[in-house]
Amino acid sequence: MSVLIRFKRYPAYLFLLAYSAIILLPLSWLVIASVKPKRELFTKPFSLPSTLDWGGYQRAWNGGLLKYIANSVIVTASSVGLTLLIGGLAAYALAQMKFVGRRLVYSAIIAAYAIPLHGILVPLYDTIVKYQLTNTYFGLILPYVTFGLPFAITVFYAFFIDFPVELMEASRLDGCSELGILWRVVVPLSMPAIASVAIFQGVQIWNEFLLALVVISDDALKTVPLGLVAFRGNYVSDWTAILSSISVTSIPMLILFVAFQKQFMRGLAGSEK
Amino acid sequence: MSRVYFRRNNQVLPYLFLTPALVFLALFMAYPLTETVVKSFYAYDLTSRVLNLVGISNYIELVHDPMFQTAAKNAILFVIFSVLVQIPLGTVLAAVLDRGVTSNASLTFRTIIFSPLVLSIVAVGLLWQLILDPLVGLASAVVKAVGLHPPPLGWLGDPKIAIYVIMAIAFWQYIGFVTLLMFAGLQRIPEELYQAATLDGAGPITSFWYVSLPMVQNALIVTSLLTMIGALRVFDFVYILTGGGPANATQVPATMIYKEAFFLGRMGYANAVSVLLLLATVGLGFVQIRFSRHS
Repeated sequence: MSVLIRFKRYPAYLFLLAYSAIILLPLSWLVIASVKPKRELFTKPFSLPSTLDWGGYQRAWNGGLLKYIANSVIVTASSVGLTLLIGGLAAYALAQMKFVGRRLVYSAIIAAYAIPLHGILVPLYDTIVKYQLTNTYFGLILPYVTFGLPFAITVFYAFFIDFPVELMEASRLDGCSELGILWRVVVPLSMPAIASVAIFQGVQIWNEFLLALVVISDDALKTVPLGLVAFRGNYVSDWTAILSSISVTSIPMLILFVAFQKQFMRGLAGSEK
Repeated sequence: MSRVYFRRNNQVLPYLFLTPALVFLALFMAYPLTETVVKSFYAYDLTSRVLNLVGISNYIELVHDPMFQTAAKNAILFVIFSVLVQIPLGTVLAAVLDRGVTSNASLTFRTIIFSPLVLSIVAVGLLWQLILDPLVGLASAVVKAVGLHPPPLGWLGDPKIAIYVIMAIAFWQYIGFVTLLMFAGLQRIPEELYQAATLDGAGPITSFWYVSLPMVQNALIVTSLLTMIGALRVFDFVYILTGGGPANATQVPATMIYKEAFFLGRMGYANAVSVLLLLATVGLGFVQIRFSRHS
């Protein structure tokens, strides 16, 4: 019987193996080609490198890759941090407190979910110009937080609404302030939701391109996606340098994904539990 | 019992907690949204602050603009093919991952299939651009190795096929998203339903068709909606791979907004494209809501 089941499962494995090959082949080529000596890249497209040539990585590094990575880290970390803080406070008020206009505010925030950055790009750019935020980190951070809030608030709301009121009451009787309750009771219990929001927003912001393209033109402030495009322009025929810069900025994301895949899958699916 | 906590002297606190979020949403979303709609009836450029009221002439011009016709056609193609390719393939992958293989194998394959989701579109686009290089790219080498000819104008240089090549690359990266959402839906189906089906003599394909699919109908609708909205918003793939070319053949609404506003300086005109894009997004949402109520 078990042999029969195994036999029956071969098509399933073959299908998944074939599909995985489609995903993995371009990624493997990326890594292999990035360490190939330049001549072999074109003359022997299918062969493994005869020697490992790390020159591409060196040229990418000298081209300012670290600066782009640092900018992305600063922008992503600040945006995610602010989104968690501001979204968490708002969701807590909506889920745990009673006040006039609660339903209205909640509906408005859900509706905001439907608005894409592309749909309001020009006036958003005008707004950023008006506050003199072009070519500043805040020119990216403030809009990123805004566009992350509807997601963060809906995820946190769904999480907070299930919190037992008794828990908060007990802490209040102990003389805890509302902020104290948030920090000492709510935050430690909300780690799964916080991880989901942080990962989802983190991936989005790390990879965001369109807004960065219109807000940042100063090379010193470019994020990784803008930096990669700049590399394409600067290293037109130096494929190994371009491939190295793609792999050096992509592989950390893949390693993070494999290491935290449970949290990633939850976060990417946009679910809170 | 009400879940909501209420204390008389604390009426200010909820508003205090909400204020930062509402300020952000007002400044960087609600205000630009209003401006987009209002200023789509004006003509103005990047530098001068002069606004000329032109009524609906931006919209009239759009209807006759060949670039917009191409952008709209490409957006519709993108939406249709996203649903026809990504949804079935992504769902079948999810079903096989859910019940076709051991749970260890499933986890390994899921890791592989979902991994492109964490990469930036810019990185993926640049990678494929090199693979598809007409002269020395890997794709042409593969095609030649099996005795065929690569397209003479290049994979991304032929206006007839370029948009489909872009789609294929987008699907390569994002089919995993459909699989991710559908897998989550399939995992919630109770095992007893499959046992009952097996007792009735159902094989894996029959079970998929009569047990799995009906149970994940809502997940399918939500996933389709997200896929369609994603297809309408495409920008990065086109910008990186073709920049909208050759000869504007791969323009989509978002690249057209960018080009009109930031290259041609026609901000009002770009706003009109934005408004139509927003309306299409909202329209899709309504169709999906109605569809899910009827089923």
